[in-house]
Amino acid sequence: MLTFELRKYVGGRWLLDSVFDDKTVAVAEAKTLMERNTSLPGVRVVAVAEEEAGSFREWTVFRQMIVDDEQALQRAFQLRYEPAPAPRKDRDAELPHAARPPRRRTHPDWLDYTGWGLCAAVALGAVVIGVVLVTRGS
Amino acid sequence: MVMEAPIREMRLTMRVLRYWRDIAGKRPFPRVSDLDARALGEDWQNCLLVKLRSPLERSFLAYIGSGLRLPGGPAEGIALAECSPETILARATSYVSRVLAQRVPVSMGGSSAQLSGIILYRSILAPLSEDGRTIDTILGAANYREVQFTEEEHPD
Repeated sequence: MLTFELRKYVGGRWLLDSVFDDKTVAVAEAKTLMERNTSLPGVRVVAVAEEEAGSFREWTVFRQMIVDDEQALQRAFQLRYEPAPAPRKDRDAELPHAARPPRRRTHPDWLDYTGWGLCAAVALGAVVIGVVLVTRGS
Repeated sequence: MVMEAPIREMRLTMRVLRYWRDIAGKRPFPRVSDLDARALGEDWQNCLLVKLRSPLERSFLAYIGSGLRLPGGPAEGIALAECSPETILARATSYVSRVLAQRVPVSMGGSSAQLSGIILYRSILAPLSEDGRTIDTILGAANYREVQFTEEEHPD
C-alpha cells in the first residue's frame, strides 16, 4: 500500500502532520499549510510504500522550505533557539593582581643574572674599545 | 474596491481537516467540546464521531451525520464491529487503528460496494483528546457518489 505522509519542520526536526492516500491531495495540503502558517519553515510529502515482510520504503515527492538548504535551516534554528556557548575568558585576568597565581617559570633564576652580566660585560668592552680608539686617534 | 472572497476548498475532507487544525491551535489534538457544528455548517451532516473503547471493536459511533445514514442503516450507539462492511460508515472508520497508531489525521478514499451499487468515496479521521495525550474520540468525515461501471469501461 502506498501512502503519502505530510511532514512539517518544527523545532529543528521533521514531525508527521497527516497521512493521505492521494499524492495530489497531500501536496496541495502541504502547500496550503505553508501558506496558512507563516512561521512554519518547511514541509515535505514523503511517499511510503509498505513492502513485503513488513518493511517500508520511502522517498520524498514534494518539498517546500523558506530556506532551500536544510542544513542552513538547522543552523538558523540553532542560532535562534540554542544560545551559543559564552566566549572563553581568561580567568586570571578577572582576578585582582594579588590574587593571581604565580606564573610558571620556564627557565632557572641564575640564567637571568648570567644574561644581564653578559650584556653588561659586552657594553663595558664596547665603551673601553671606543675610548682606546679615541685616545689613539687624538 | 472589490473584495475577493476566499476560495472555498472543494474537498470536504480538506475543509474538515482545516477546521480540525483551527480548533487544535498549537495543541496536538482538539477536545470534543471544541467542536462546533455551526462552524462546520453543512459539512457537519457528513461528519461522524467515534467514541473509543478498549478493545477497539467496542468503540461506537456517537454521532452519524444525516449524509452518512442509510435507510434502515445503523444509528448512533452502534459498535464499529457491528457496522456492515458494505457501507460508507464501515469504510470511513476502517482505519481508526491507523489514526491511533500515528496520532495524526489520516485521509483515505477509494471505491467500495454499498448496498446494490458501487461508490467512490473520500474520508478523513482526525484524533480528539480531552487531556491532550490520550485520544478518546475520533472526528470523521466522508462523502461519496455512486458510479455506474459499463461493460466497455470494465470489460473484466
